[in-house]
Order: sequence, then structure tokens, then C-alpha cells
Amino acid sequence: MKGTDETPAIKADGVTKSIKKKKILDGVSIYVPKGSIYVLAGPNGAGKTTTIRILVGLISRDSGKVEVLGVEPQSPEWDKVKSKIGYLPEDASPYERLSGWENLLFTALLYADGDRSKALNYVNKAIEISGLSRSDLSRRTSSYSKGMKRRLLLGQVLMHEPELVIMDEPTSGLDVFTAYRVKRLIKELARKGTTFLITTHDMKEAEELASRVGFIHEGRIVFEGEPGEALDMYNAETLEEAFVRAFSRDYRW
Amino acid sequence: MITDGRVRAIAWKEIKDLSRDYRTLISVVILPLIGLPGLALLTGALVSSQYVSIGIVVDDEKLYIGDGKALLEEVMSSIRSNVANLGIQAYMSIFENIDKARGVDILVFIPKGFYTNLTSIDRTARIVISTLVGSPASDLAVRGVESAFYSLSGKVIVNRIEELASMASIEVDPYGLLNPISIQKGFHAASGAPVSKFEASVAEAAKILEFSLFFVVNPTVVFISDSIVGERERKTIERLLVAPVLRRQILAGKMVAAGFLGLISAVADGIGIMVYFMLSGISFSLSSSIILVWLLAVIGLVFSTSAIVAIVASRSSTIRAAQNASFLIVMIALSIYFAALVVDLSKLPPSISFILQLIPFTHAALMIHNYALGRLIDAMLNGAILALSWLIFLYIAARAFRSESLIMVKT
Repeated sequence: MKGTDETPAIKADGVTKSIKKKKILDGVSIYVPKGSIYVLAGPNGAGKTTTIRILVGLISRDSGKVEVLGVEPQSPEWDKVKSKIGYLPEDASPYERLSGWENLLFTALLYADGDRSKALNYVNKAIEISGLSRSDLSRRTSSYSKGMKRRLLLGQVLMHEPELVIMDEPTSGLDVFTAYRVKRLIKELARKGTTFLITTHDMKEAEELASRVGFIHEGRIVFEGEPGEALDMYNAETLEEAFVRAFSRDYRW
Repeated sequence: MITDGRVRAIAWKEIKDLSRDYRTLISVVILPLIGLPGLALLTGALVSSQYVSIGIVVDDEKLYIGDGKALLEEVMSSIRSNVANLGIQAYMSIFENIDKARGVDILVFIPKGFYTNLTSIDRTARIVISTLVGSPASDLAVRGVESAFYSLSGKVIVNRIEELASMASIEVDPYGLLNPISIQKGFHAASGAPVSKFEASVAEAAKILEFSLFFVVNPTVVFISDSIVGERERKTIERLLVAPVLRRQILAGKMVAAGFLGLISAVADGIGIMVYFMLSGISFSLSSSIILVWLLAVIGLVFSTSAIVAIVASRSSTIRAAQNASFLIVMIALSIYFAALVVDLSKLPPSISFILQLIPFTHAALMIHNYALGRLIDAMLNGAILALSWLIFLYIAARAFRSESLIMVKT
């Protein structure tokens, strides 16, 4: 794990959010140090995606404080921070009527502010990350497999070398090889100083990646700390075991 | 810093994306461009291949001999020629009694005494024409039959006047006697200045141009709905909203692309509708200035419609829902532009006119209409209102285009 910085990449404190009068987040507080791989784990419907959407400025919060790279999402200064973030939603898809190359170029042009030579550098970087061949990239992405689409998206997310990468279930539904490739890439970039916030409900993946974990359940963070602390707190041998114990108050081994 | 390089990038992506939706392109561009003229050609071909059976029941024996026979042949020849001019083939038969003529499309009954009455100086020669009900071809062909008898009637009147003049030993011009008033038609502009026949024809063509505006609205609705709601349906919206691009830049890029493609569709569809009218036998003339005004109206309409549909699309859960909601917009536009074909929109009572003027679509039609009638100031005012309405709807669209409402729309 890369050494953490005292200025956090993400700091959220007491965040609440209700949608259609239903409380989705009930005082979520998370702390993501720079250079860490933070895994936000929780069962389906726990509030992981809503938390992430608030952090990337897609939706507003009802109360609480949030700072991402020192700036409050949706504030007037937020647009300056956007180019330092890479975001991969869980069910994201590329533009299927565009080729892989055109998808990369479009994202690159947005991040390069229309500067074509800078954009082409981003495209080359994305091609390297995705590992897709030139012939793959010349085809429309509607013909891609799920794994190829995910690799292409990963290239788009990382092409501009963001300081902070937020990914919702990055390996969900991927084959073993692609999932392995994604995890290896995350670890490699984290070693170089990139901060990651990843959601997952796969605790083996969390154990493999996390330098810091947060357990979220029914809109509340029930644990946050280093994986070792989770094992100690729940008297568990694995993170999976700690996770189960965190969410099963009456559970006895 | 966020600049317009991103608007260009979004417009580029949108044009590529939308133009590869071949089914939509075919339905909104190719079909009107080829389909409408094709429809006119098909209709023309079908009309010209129609035929009618005309049965002439001659109960007057004088029409079988001498001058009477020659008169009957002349009438039949005239009927055949008139009906052919209407694009219909006529199969004519002569029957001696009405029972044998059952089943024909048009029955002409010439009773006893017809020839005697016709050649007299002051009697009326009667005939009966009966047409098969529910037959468009017969309805059309019967005009040719009637015309042949009106023509014969005209000749008989001239003969009678000449005969009467001869009996009275006076000189009479039968045509002057029959037409004591001669009407010479002309045209003038709203300013009162005389207008040439060509200019009058251009003003008539303006109605067709106004009607063609309907075909501008539909593709714009399709493109902008797909462009906005399609992002959500195809799960690309979240990444776009998180990218370093302002919401108004996203909207601007999308509207530029939808507007560009809408404009191409509008021009293609406009050409299609004009060719349709030309092939349908409706003659009209166009000047370069009226085409320019039409193009300006089209541009204004494309962008106004884009902004209105963007508001609807931002609040719709699916492309289908957005297009269904936009159907109301299309229906309003259709009503206005169809009315423009048959009604002078600038000459309606104030209560109706006031309501229509609140709708931006009306000003696109009035812009062309007023220009064609020579009311330049009014046309410019209509153009300005259209542009202003675009800006107002654009502002509302920019407010409605919020990330939260886009990704968490009510379903």
C-alpha cells in the first residue's frame, strides 16, 4: 500500500439522502486518504451507489458535508475538479453506434478540452490500458463482449491519469481473466499514487484490493478502517467473515 | 477551463451516433424524400389507369340518322376526349333502351324529342345523367360528360342567336350578347402595388412551404428524444455528466447535432413534399428569396422544437415516453401547418389569432406567409418572435437538464 497523505481525497461527514420519502443514506461518513484503495462494501440496496453518486456530484445530498479533492461536489468550483476524477458506474456502457476508437476519442476530447493532439495522447494511453487490438477498436462496440466493453470503459476512465478513481462494482459480471486484469491495474496505479474508491459486495475482491474498507448497511457505515482492524473488531479470520459478522448482530460462530 | 471545444466534441459524437441509427434516418429522411414523390407517381399512375364505362341510351330515333347521327358522334367524341383529358379511359356504348345499360358507371339517357328540341329556336332539350355512387373515377369522369353537353349547348346558343338575328335582319355578335361583362383578373401586394402572375404563383407556393414545415418538426422530435433519453437508456449518461463538461455545453452540443440533422431532414422532406405537389399536378413557382425565408423559418423551427422537446425529454423515462409526450407537440404543429394550406392565418378573428400567436410554430408559418404577401416588417417580426421563443425554451431546457432529474427520473 502506498503511504497515505494527511489531506484526504474524500471526506464525507453525516451525509443523508432520501428518495421518494425513503431514507437511502442515514448519516454516512467516510474518509478516503490519498493514495489508498478504499473498498466500500455492502449488500445490494445498502446505499453504495447513492453514496458514490453524491461523491461525483450527480445527485445532491439532503444534509451533511462532503469534500472531494478539497472541493464540495455541485459547488461552483466543482467543474474544475471534474477533470481530476475518473468514474465508472456499475452498469455503464460505451456508445454502441460508435466504434471503440471513436468512443475513446470522444472521451479524450472532453478531457482534453477539444485539444486534438492532447486527446490523441489520451487515446493511446487508453488503448494501452484496455489492451484492445486495432481491429477491435475499429468495430462498433455493439459487437463487443461484456469484458471488452468494460476494458474499453476502463481505458476511458483512466486515460487522463486521474488523481481519484471511483468505480461501482468494477469487476461485476466479468470473466476471470478480465477481472484479474482490472484488479492488477488498480493495484499498479494505486502504487503510483492514484486513489481508488471501489464498491463491491465481493469480499474476496475487497480483501485482495483494500487498504481501507467501509461496511455500509441500510444507509449507515457500520465499520470503517484498515482491513486488519476489521478482522480484530469482528474477531474474524477473513474480511468476508468480518463482513458477515458486521451485518449479523445475532450471529454466533 | 471548460470551453466550446467540448461542445464541438459532443456535437461530433451526437452526429455520428444519430446518423448511424439507420432505421430512424430512413423513416424521417429517406421515406419523405423518396416516399412522397413515389406516392404522387403511384397515385398518378393509378388515376391514369382508371377506366369508366359510359352507356348512352338513345331513345330519340332522329339521332340514328342524318344530321342527328353526326351530332351524336360529335358528342361522343367530345365526351371521350374530355374524359381522356382527366386521365381516365372511357369505354362508351350506345343502347337502345335503358334495361340493356344496367351496370355502367355513367348512364346518359337521351329521351325522345331531344334532337327536335335542340334544333328549335327556343325549346329545352333535356338529358339525364346518372353516376354510380362511391366511385371516384365516375365522379371525375362525369365532369367530362357534362362538359361535352355544355360545349354543345354553347354552340346551339350561338346558332340560335345568329338565326334570330337573321330573322330580325340585325347584326349581332353572339359572344358579346352572351358575355356582357368581361372580367380581367390581376394581383396586388399588401402595399397595393401590382404583382406579376409569377409573384402571385410564388405567394400560392408559400402555402405549400408553410405546410412543409410539419415535416421539420417530426425529425427534430425524434433526434432530440433519442439524443437525451437515449443517453439514459443506453447507460452512457452518468459518465457524460461526470466528465469535465457543463450541462449547458452538453445541451448545446446535442441541440447543434439534432438541429443539424433536423435541418438536413427538413430540407429533404421539404423537397419531397414539393415534388409530391408538383407530381400531383399542382403547379407553383418558387423564387430564391422565398426559399431563403423558408430556410430561415426551418432553422428557427428546428431549434425552437429542439428546446421544447429537450424539456420534455429531460423529464421522460424512456425514448418512447419522450416521443409519446412530444406527439402532442407534433399534433399542434400539424394542425397549424395543415390549416395554413386552406386558411389565411393572418386573417383570423383576434381571439383565435391571439391563441395561435402564443405558439412558436405559428410564427414560422406566418413568417413565410407574410413575406409572400409582401409584408416584410411582419415577416421579420415573426422571425424575431420565433428566435425569442427559442431562447426562452432554451433557458427552461437548461434548467430542466439537471443531472439528478436525468438519472433518477420518475418511471
